[in-house]
Amino acid sequence: MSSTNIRRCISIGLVIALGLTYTLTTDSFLTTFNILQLLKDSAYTGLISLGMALVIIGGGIDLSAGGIVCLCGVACARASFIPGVPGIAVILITILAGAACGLFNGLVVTKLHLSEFVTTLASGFVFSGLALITTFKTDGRPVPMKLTNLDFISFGYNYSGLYKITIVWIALAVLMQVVLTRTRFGLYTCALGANEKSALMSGVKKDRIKIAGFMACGAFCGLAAAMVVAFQTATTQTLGNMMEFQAISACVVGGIVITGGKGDALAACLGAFFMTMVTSGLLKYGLSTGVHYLMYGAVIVIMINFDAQFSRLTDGGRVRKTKKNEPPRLSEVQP
Amino acid sequence: MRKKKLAVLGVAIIMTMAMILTGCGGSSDPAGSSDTGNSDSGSIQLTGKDISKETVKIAYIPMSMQGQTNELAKIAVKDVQATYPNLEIQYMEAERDAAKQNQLIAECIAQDFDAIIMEATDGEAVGPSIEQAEKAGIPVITSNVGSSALHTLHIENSSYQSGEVAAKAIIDRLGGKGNVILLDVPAEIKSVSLFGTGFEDYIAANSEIEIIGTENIPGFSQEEANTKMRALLTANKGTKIDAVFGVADEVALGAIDAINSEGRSGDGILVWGSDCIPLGIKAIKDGKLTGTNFPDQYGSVKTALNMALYFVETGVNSVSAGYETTPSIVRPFAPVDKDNVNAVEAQSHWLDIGN
Repeated sequence: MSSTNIRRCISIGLVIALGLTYTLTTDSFLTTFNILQLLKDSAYTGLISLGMALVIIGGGIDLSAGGIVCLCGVACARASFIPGVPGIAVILITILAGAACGLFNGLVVTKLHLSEFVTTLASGFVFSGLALITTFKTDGRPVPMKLTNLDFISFGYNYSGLYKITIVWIALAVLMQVVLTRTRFGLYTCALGANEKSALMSGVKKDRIKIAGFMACGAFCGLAAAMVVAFQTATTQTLGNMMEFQAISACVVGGIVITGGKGDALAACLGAFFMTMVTSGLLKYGLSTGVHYLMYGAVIVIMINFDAQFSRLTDGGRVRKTKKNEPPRLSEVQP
Repeated sequence: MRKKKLAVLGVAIIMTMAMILTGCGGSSDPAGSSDTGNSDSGSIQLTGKDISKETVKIAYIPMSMQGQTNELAKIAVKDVQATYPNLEIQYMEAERDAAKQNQLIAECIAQDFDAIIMEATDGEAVGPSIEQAEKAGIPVITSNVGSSALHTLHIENSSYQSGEVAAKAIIDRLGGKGNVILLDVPAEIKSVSLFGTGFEDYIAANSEIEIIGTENIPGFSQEEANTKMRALLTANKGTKIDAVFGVADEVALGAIDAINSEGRSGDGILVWGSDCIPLGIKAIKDGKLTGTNFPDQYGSVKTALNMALYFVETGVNSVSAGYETTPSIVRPFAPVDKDNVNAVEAQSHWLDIGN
């Protein structure tokens, strides 16, 4: 069994262990309603995590994800008020808005050669600021605005409790898993994250991969924003608040290597579901918010440390020694 | 061939998703009439609970658990628990985020809470969750910031009215003329927290006072208010400033810090706050703060708790009682200055928590 599969089994084991603990110690965990709500809450973080996974695996980071979600929320709400616009078009417009934000990040990073950390940190503020400027106002003052486009709002509906955002998340997770593990784009992304210099020498077009990664991340943020706005029937200025950190946490906890080169969509999804379970469980025990933050941080530290030890154990003896300036074979890159 | 297979798979996933989402894959219910695991939508027959014998679980979800006024809520809870020892309260942190508050309401439904007392982070965005809770038989009481969604009761210490009270106090002291600075709520909650809006509207309608500078203060922080106020003082160096309204006492105290550090303490600038927290009370007694607004948070929470217990005991909520609009109770803000600060302090219950 490959180290990736072992790591995934560990993630699944953790989810099952946590679920068993909650089931045995509380009476409100193993109910249809609770599981479906958990999936819905995970889907919001999970969709953003799918995009974030792509960026992280490619050796980058996107700290503007929360800002993109916020701006896309406003774009989505505004699009929904266009007379006669169908709901699916509102969703597509929002996805495009997110992708445009990602394109901006990608172009700045690749063409101006600025650090991804600094670029996306700054652009996150820019997107949040734009959201505040463009939000609904009366007499210059922001006001809550209830959406009235029923075709669009129906995207927030559910089938007997199974929300559409959950269906979208699961379907896109499968698609992303295929993209990351079965396509040349996925292979190149992993190669770039694993060893940028070697990937470049192997002919990987860094700029294209980076821009595509950021655009995909932005598009996922847009989709997440649209689905949440459809459920809430309104957007808020706090939409997406701290979501970049939750998405990064989900990726790390799921087993995606934070320095890039290793991970997949399923890892991001498992991480998002696990972190939502942690929060939900702490609420069931009635623990204070301070304890939530403590546990959240502790889980991340433990999992990063675990992954470092795990990689040392599983990959340590199998790394091929390369000569100076010799690129790794692409077949060695393990998504 | 492999490329073709992948493309077909991708297209299949997207097509299936689009069909399901646009309604071809089956019927859909609005959020709110979904299966909650313990109810059918629309026709619930609620029965009350014997609150003297059975445990009553109530969730308290303000916009944020930060801030001293939540301490008063805890005192109110203790006092009500002295009468109803079966009452259990769970405090939940919404972090001023509607998505988070929606998650918390869903958790309350999952845990079958008996009632929810909450301050809506956004009146519209949490509406579907409030409706869902009401349909699951849980009475929802909103406090301060309500929701357009139909629910059992709204109790309001109106932030808009607080702005009006501060404006009136400043107009009275300035004789209706002068230059004023407004240090308003954080930008991201300006749409639901209307201190500044009430202040601006009242000033415009009832005086010739000009608001020469406005800033949003992140996190209602004293340090942020200090920084922003210093910038406003620098920008208005040659202009006479007569008064400042800080939408929270910490904000007003930050303004006082800035006035002192910029050497403008001799200008006689009046500073008015809101919330009447211990720091504000002390500053009024020391002659630093001109006045503040007293919202009686203790009284509001106690009223909300007692009403929640009544709803739990009788089984009444907006669905079971067939409400068409949400009933509301509006509680007034009172102006506080050096003349009545001691009396208000005694009434405020701050002394009960040793401040």
